[in-house]
Amino acid sequence: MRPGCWLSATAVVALVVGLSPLAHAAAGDECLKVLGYEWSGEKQSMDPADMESGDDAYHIFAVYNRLLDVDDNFAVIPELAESWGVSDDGKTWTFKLRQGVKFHDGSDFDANDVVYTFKRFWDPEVASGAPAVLGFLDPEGIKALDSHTVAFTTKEPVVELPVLITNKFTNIVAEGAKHEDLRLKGNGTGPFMQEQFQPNAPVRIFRKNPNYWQQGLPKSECVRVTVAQEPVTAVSAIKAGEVDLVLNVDPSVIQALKDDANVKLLETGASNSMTVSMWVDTPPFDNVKVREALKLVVDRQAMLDTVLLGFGEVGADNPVPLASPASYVKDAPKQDIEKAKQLLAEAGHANGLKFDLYTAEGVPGMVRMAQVFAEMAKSAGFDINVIVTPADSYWDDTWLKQPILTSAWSMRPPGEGLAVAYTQTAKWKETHWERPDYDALLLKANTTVDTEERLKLYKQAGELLAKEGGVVIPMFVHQVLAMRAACEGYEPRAQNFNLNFETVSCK
Amino acid sequence: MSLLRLIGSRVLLSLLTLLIVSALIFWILEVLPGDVASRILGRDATPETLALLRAQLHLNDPAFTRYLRWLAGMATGDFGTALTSSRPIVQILEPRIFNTVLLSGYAFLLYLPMALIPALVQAVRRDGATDHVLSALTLVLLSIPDFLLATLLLVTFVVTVPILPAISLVDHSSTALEYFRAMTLPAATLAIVMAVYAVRMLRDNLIEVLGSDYVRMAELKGLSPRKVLLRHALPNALVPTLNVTALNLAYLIGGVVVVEKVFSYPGFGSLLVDSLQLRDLPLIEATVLIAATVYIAANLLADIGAILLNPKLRASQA
Amino acid sequence: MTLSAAPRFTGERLPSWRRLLRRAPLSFRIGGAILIIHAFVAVLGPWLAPYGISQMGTGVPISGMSWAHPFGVDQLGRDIFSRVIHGSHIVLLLALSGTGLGVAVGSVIGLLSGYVGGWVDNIVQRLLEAVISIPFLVLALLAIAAAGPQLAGSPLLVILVVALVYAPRVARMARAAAMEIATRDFVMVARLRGESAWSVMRREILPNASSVLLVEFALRAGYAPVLIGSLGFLGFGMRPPTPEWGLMMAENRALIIISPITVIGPGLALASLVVGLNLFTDGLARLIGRAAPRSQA
Repeated sequence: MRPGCWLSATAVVALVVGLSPLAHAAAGDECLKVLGYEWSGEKQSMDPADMESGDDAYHIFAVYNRLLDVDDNFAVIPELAESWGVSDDGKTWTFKLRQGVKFHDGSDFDANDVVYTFKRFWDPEVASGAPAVLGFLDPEGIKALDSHTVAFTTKEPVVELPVLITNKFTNIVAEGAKHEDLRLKGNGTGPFMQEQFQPNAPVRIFRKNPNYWQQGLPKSECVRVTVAQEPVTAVSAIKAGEVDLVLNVDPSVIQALKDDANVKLLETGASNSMTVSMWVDTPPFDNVKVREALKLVVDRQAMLDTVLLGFGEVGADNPVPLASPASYVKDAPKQDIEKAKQLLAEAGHANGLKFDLYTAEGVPGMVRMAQVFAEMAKSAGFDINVIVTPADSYWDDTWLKQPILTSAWSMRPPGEGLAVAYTQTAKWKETHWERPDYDALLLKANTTVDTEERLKLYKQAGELLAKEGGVVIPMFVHQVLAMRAACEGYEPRAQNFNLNFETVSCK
Repeated sequence: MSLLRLIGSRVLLSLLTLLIVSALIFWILEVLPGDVASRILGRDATPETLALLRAQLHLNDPAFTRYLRWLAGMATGDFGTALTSSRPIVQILEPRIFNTVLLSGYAFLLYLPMALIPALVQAVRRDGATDHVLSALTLVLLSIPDFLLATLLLVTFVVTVPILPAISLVDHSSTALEYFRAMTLPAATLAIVMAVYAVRMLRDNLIEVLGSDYVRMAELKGLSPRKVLLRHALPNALVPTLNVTALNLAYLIGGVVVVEKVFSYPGFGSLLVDSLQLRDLPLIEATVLIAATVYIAANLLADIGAILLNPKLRASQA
Repeated sequence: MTLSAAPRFTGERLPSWRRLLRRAPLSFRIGGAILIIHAFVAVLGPWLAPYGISQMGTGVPISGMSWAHPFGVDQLGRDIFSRVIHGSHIVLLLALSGTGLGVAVGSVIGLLSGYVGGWVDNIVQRLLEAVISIPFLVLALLAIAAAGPQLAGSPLLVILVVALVYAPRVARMARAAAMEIATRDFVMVARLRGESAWSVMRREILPNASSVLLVEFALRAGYAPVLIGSLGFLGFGMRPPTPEWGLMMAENRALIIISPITVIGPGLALASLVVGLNLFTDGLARLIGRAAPRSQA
């Protein structure tokens, strides 16, 4: 057998295989081309009740609307609900819905759709993760008062209900839509209609909704979503003009885009916190002096500058950013190695303290933060062994299972942020912090209608957590996005799942 | 006929091997912490939501029952449905396998000249400067991990000289030209990685064969050096290389995750790793078994190829 | 990458070292010299390196080549040249012990199975083939998941994964060697003397297979650093802040557009080690009288 035969035989086979897709036409190149960075593969779903990963937001927030939207300061903005109000006892919230809105399949949007959307979260067939964050709702109390009015009656007053029901799960689906159908075929009221979507497929395409309730939107004919997980790939793609919008640029590659005239960088406000969380009931962290020492060793600005290259803001060991009116301080704590040493000695660890710190690249930057933290703590006598575990199983196998680890929380309104991991009844008790006085402050805030009064209670809770709690929050991350200079109109939101592609137009 | 019998018995043994693989994978996944329910819910998991989802996915049935159920399905050719999306597994596999076969074909086309030409040049110019330079080059390429090679090619041909796309986007609607452009960088990476091994082996074998009596005879008969090299030496030298090529084929189906990741190419390798990370048992079983089958089949083909290419072996088999 | 080529072997005992060195080929000497330099750096690394292993603030983060920082500075402000030096012994130890364990386990399984033969051999063969046919990434991922978070990134785990990938492939080769040796007269004699299988294996078969196994070891050790580096890239190998070279390349790969030397520096170190190991193997194989096998990891 001659090698020539070999080659030509292979070539013919390859040619036949290679030419076979000729029959198809190219799709999506004329669209707004969005590049995401999270990928959840086969578990991708078009059902809002399934939304567990950022990857799902790319399609769900294009196809659906929520009752309300929130801005970066957690002020609510009307979306499908035009106005709302609360009863005098604070237990019943009523929402007036927008008239004349249609679902993509042509059916009218009304109060029954809202009731259906919320009630199905508790349906065992749907098996949604939503009940964990909607525990304050009473499914029986969600009722349609008339065709365009919905009431949420709760057992206790919930002062911040409008913002609390505006989370990643609560996009509105049409009444009667079944879980198994919604997974693959979205039917919402949103700016874009599903044209091409399949779990685990590389390309998603959404066509402009011609009947969208917001005049003049969306500005693009269609959106094409693809995902690249490698930062270098994402940067190369936008430099080459292959995509219009990169939803997250890793800090380490930002420098490659800074001088590129064809690319604009967009920065959000605080998007998520970065934490070192420890169990306050487990030695050596059960000693408040050890915890205080760990908070004192951090040079927050230096950490921000190295880990995130400055794309973020410093924090003060509680989940409320310094700029928020609910923050108890305006400046972050300063590094004080001497005091940390002294506290450590007082706690009985004069010769230093050694422990394992668990981390994973579950959230970009976490591994770098753990390393910098360990290095900073070294000077105060801490010997921290950083253990990096696989990112894909971190939240499953490590988180909540080790006494000290790094974590991150996406931004929530102050009341929810202070509660989500730190109350006795919290679903995710990251620090085993159980303080009736802390819970009482939040409970009182929850039912306090007066804003000033409520902010004061948040400040007290924040201070208590910062001084005695088991969490170090040295910084908050700002997301950096890259957009082609020829495009305009994108408003990046700090909540990274809250995507609004409808306002973008490209030349 | 004995060749047929050989193939027959090898196929039967391979089936047994695949059964062992499936049992092994199932057993390991049973032992591992975390299951598909906890992976689907991720950070949002609470004991209540987990219990609901587990019940819905029938994860509470005894492990052995679930294995037998799956095996019975496989026996009738039914791959089942993915737990994560409840889509039929065949439907999930089809585009990925198509993409990987296409990419592998392209990579192989590039691989053949990349492996043959340097090896032939080196063998002819044995111990000369060209030989040493090429040897050094292959050695250096051998030591570059594939992720680095892929990234270097990406930066070179997308950023420095922007002629190829960074994201290898292909789906059923892509044209042949789009496929060609999208696949060039990943295929080139794979071809280089594979060729580096084959070149070294082929060169040594060629030199060995060129020194054999058989080739001397051909030369004495007055055949041109070119003919001797291509007609007589090369086929013989290819025999051991066939094995490497078979192994490369197995690498293409399962080990290309890195290259797929760098170029965002929707291939089979990343499906394999994704499903493993999601603990989606039927999908893992299907993908691992396909990868194992390709490995076994490639080896079988290499063995048959060796018998066909080598007259001596052919005689001993008869 | 994976796998072994067709098992080949010749069965003579190793000649004495002194005789060997006298007729050592050039590749053996060059490879040996490179390896000696690496060993030197590995041992004296902590004294040679200008900066500490994870010392931060050594220079401007993400900067390129300079006299003070030949391989640049990474994002956390660590000097990459120092880290490469500090990492030398880690890479060498991981590669050698992982390969060593794999070759040792594989040899025992393969030699015994090949010598004993029969149904034991059949079962072992099926199991080995099953393990080999599973893509090595899947094996690595499963092993790491099974080890749990406490062991994540520990050198022990990486050594075990390398051994797990290598052992079945070595076993196949060792088996072929054992089957051939088993047919020789001196083995027959030993067996007739009534020696146990274990003792025959230890006293007759192992010494005669040693040259095959030695080359197999050197060959696989030559690819082990790349394998470990690739594992690191995928998040299954060593973990930060370990200065393992493959991991450093993976960690810094995002900087490749801005300052390529941060990636190429550790790459050069790795390349020189792999080139050294391969030249050494080539020479070694020629020296003990067999053609250098070319197999993949």
